[in-house]
Amino acid sequence: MILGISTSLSQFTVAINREGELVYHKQSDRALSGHTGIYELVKEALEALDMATTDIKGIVVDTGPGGTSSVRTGVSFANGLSYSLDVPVVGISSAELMGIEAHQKYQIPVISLFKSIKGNYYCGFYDGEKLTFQFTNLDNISAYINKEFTDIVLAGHADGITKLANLLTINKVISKIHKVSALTLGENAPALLANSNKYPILPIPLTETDIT
Amino acid sequence: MSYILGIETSCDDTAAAIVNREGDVLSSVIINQNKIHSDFGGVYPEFASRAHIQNIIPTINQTLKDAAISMSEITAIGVTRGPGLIGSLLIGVNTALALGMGWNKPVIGINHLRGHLRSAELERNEIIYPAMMLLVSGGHTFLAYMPSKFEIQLLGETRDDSVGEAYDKVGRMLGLDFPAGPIVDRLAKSGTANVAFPRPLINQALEFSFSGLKSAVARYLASIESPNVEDICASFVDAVMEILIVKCKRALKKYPCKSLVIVGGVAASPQLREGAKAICDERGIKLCLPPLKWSTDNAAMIGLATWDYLDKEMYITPTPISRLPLTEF
Ligand SMILES: [Zn+2]
Repeated sequence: MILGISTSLSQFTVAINREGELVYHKQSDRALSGHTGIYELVKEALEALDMATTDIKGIVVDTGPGGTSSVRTGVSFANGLSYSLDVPVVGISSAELMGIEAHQKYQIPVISLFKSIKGNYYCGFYDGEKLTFQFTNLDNISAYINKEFTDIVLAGHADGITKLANLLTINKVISKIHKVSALTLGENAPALLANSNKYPILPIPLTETDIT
Repeated sequence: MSYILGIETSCDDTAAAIVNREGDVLSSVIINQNKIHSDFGGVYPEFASRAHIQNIIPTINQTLKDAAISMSEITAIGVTRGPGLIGSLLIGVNTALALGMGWNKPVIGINHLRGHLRSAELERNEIIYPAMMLLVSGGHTFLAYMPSKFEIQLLGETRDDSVGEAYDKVGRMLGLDFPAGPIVDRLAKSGTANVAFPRPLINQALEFSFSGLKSAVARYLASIESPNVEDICASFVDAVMEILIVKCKRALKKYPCKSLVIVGGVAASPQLREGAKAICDERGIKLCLPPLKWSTDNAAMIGLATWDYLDKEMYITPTPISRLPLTEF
């Protein structure tokens, strides 16, 4: 059984994949979950499935971008569980998780936007295989996209997407993907874990980004 | 044998320790971030949190290796739940909860301050209760009365800066390295206390205030051409010590005790140790100055305090609380 954890955006997410199948997923509001909500959610999941902690054979954890404290909540929990159970843990970016979902749906490159300080955006470009990051303002991002792409899907920060779309002259799809999906996390967990490294998986420390 | 794994991440040190009920410390590992924070002249919360997440598993792993015990000998995990920096606390708490889940051990949230107060009894040192406790560190400054090891009464705390902060800020004004405490104390010894710095709140009960003293040093530095660093250190330390000693005496007069316990980083100050010894000799009570490694932040004290929680059957679910009061468990 593989455990997926995401705490970087507005929701805390737990997804469980058993033998290639998504068998459990739950999201709860970050503000209600507090600083230890991920522990409660994982405990609840194991109880619901009537499984023991030792059934966990691998962990996939969202390493952000996102709120720095909330990313660290999930990552420190995942690292602790990986260490105590002696099972692999692998980190995955929230930008890639949104990218995977959008790419599976539209089959064209994806940009995941995260609002940052001083009107800037942090964004991940995902082409179905690889993720690259840029941190700059919308004018520079749109100029780059208009030059490098012919088609693109926009995911992530809702207002940012709308603003960016107005600056794009190429084919664009404005998606409804604004956060990490429990389904994407759970369904892709085994494939993501195949690239597994053992500890330490560190969160991408984005002091520029603070998504609430 | 039966042991506690203690975990401490409330400020800038990542620490873990294995401790038995008698206070024997089987292993203790502390990774400090002084190098990172020296550039800022203090603790920078964002960097502290980032360093904790990098250091915590290696710290715990080393602690368990050093202790060389089997997992079945660990009774519980005790982790600091506050007070402290929230971004730092949540790393320790979430790690501890995950370890408890993986190893199937109870995880108990511990008050960092209670850890400090119990630190004087590590390695079988004995506090004779009732005891007067003075905690003087970078994070805290207060006097507390402990009729027994379970009961704590807060007598007075600082309204603004802690003593350790005052030392560090004055050190920074004088261009000294962080942490500045030991350097200021050393320079003070070769200087003369010839600047009349104020002693804020000295006549008022048992509360403390150090920001006015710090500002007075800043004003003095701005007012003269070529300051004598040794003399300024001597004058500053003189003011701090007079405040601390006067308050300890006043507290002991009002609450007669069998011991005076001084913990926290500033307990390293030779001037404070001398002053405290004089008080205790005069009153004929025991002076407890635990080894400095247990006075500054460490996880052994959290481990020892965890036994008190087990005795009281207080299985407090660890949720980080930045401003956890001293009187709460
Ligand atoms: Zn402390």
